[in-house]
Amino acid sequence: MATEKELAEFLAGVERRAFKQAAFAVRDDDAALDIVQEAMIKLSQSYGDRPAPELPLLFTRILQNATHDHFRRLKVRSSWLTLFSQLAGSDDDDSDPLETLESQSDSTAAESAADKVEREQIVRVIEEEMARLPGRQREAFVLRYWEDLDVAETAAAMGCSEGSVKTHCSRATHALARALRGRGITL
Amino acid sequence: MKEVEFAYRVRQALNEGAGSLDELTLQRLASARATALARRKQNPAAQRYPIPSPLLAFAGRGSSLGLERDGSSQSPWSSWLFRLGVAAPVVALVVGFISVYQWREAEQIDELAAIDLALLLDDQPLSTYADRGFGALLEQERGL
Repeated sequence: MATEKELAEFLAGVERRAFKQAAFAVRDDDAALDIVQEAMIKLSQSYGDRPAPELPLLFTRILQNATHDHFRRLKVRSSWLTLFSQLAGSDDDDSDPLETLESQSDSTAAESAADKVEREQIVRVIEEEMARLPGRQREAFVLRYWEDLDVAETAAAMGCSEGSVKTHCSRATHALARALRGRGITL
Repeated sequence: MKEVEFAYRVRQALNEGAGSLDELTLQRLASARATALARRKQNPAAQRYPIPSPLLAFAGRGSSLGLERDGSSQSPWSSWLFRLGVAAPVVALVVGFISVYQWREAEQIDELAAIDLALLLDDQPLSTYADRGFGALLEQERGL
């Protein structure tokens, strides 16, 4: 059974990534925070007595469910509102992609202020393109490459076959690379 | 292999993004974490003597309505009370509806039986009851 300290450390370790993942999906920071809080509470209430190694997969699944529930609620409330929020989310792209062209420095330790700003812009562009990926592709990519789950675990978390996971990951990678190239970024 | 390398670089960027959240977001995440930990499910052995707390029981119950599919289980007494609180008014409502329905049905049967009896005992032909004037006469007599 996970101790309270282990659970607290686990939540502290995943909360930022969880927030970002939810934000990619819903494109609304407030809603993403609500989703993360809901997922944390569900994990703590329902699975707070589970062994610590089981927590990551459980939390991943709960976070996905909470995100899906959010969309379901939105759909029930008003379908046009969903459309509006998606449009609004894509409108805040005021960065100039050409400015990120030359920022390829690997060293972040001795970055100048200008390099840092450029790097932040690249990160922002990548996040925007992540948010634009189709939901299942983004989910597979995030679980596989950001959460470090293996193919079988990703398939279990997504409720699909391992073949589907590989397909989603491959498509996500290619779509992302293409989109970033289109905005002048080569990783 | 190239795909993995690309994914690794994206991952680095995503980590950077997650690492540079603004202070307000971090505070809200910390607050969410504290709330979650306060509602942590305890080991059943540690809950042998639960402290009755209506506020906490209600809060847990209310927010766990959607958790049934996760197989969550609440403390037995709060769950029992909650179910009883929901079931009792529903049962009372259903019993009330059934009673009213049966009473109305019995009343209608009585009325029809009275009409049938009146028709059978009366020496007037049936067609007179369809006559408006006869109906008005009956009403007048009833008024008297």
